[in-house]
Amino acid sequence: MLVARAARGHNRAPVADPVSAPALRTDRISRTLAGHRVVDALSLDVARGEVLGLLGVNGAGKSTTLRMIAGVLAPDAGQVLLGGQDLYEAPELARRGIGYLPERAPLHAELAVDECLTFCARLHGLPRRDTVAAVGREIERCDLGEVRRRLIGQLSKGFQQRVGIAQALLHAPTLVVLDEPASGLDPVQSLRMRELIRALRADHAVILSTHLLAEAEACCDRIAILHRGVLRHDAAVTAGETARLEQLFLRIAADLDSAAA
Amino acid sequence: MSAALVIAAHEWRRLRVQAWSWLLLAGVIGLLAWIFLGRLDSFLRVQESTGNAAHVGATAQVAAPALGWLAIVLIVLVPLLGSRSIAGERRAHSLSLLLAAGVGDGAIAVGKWLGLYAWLLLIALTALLPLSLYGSTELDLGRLAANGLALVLHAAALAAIALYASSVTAQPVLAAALALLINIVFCVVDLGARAAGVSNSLINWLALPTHFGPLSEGVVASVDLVWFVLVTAVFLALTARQLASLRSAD
Repeated sequence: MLVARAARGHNRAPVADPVSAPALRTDRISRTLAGHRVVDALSLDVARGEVLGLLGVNGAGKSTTLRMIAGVLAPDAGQVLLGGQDLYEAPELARRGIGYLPERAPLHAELAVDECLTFCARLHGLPRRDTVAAVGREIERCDLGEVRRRLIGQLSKGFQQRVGIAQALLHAPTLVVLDEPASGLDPVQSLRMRELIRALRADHAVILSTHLLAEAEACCDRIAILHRGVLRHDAAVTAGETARLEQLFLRIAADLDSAAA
Repeated sequence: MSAALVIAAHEWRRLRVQAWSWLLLAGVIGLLAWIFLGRLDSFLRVQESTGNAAHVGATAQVAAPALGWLAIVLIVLVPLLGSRSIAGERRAHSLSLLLAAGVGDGAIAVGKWLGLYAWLLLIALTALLPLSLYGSTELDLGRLAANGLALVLHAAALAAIALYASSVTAQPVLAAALALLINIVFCVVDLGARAAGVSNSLINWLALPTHFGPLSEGVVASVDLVWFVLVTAVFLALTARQLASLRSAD
């Protein structure tokens, strides 16, 4: 039953119209790493203004999926479509529509926060005249004002994650890809991170990976559960569903583990 | 191209804020100054004993050998400076910032190379040391210019080799060792042929000294310029290819 639900969207033709097309569509993307099928024929849609949570246990294929969506790792098969355009056909242009925060924030410890963000803005193709405004806007949005002149290597994990999110937002991307953004944060920092992610919905489509059900429920409009690279569940989520999601999560893991045995 | 310049400026800034870069720079300048003054001292002793008041031959006896030493130092130094360029980013998991941005692999390679090369040109400024003799002796400015050109091209090729080695592994130490190995191979590849009296074969053409030697003696030939440009371009292309393969491999 779960597999049948997950099959929703397979065999869909790419949508060419960038206006009506979803912000993100993955069309049966697969990836094998070191001889192991990490992601298998995964199809997902993320609409503009939507936050999709990608859940799964460790090794479920979440990070690999996000890396393919961000254009850092090419899929073996299938397509990643951004606004209807194939990410790997015009990768340089398409990647400018994506903001990506990997599991470990890709920051240079030896640079100050504003120095690093200025570099990221320029790297994403922002003209020099717009860079100062964009950096100021994201420093304010991510609440980094008090540390903007400090070296990134001297910041706490929470601040580093916020700098990571700021760099992903500088160029106002259509799609924001966040890989375990609350990983390693204390409870207060996690709450702030959730608020920030919820606020992103206004301007971006967001896909985030997590293995924390409460976080997914708090931030996401829809949840997709991956297990061993296969999409097992894809449905909207409403408040107060943590217990139901927990049961579903355990059932998916148990179903597959017993099938494998 | 502007993305390459952004990356180059960033690379330069990263080198600038690392104490390691300044220590290497200071070490090279100190070593070169010591070699230069040593050669100058020997030269003056010989000139005094032979009564050559015009000090003719300072370019050949003092300047060219000092610059030759700088070329040798660069063979060891550039792998050390360039090893972290990409390997260090892979190790620190910051390379995904470049890979996920809308920048081509060629622009990343060129940008990284330009940043490293700009730092090397700072070191190559020590090549101006011999100009301190200007006015007090007969300097062969043409030969000095050819030496400067040789160093600039030499540094460009070495930077491209170091960058390629840095893209092959995530371990900066291994990258430095690989770059040094490639440099040494380019230096000695025709030793056997030369020992056998062969000096005009393909294997001779591949060797770095075959092209650096004439330039340092003041002979500027297009074949030597093309060799340096080719080596630089080939290793930059290999670096871009290696970056592309990082997207398809893990």
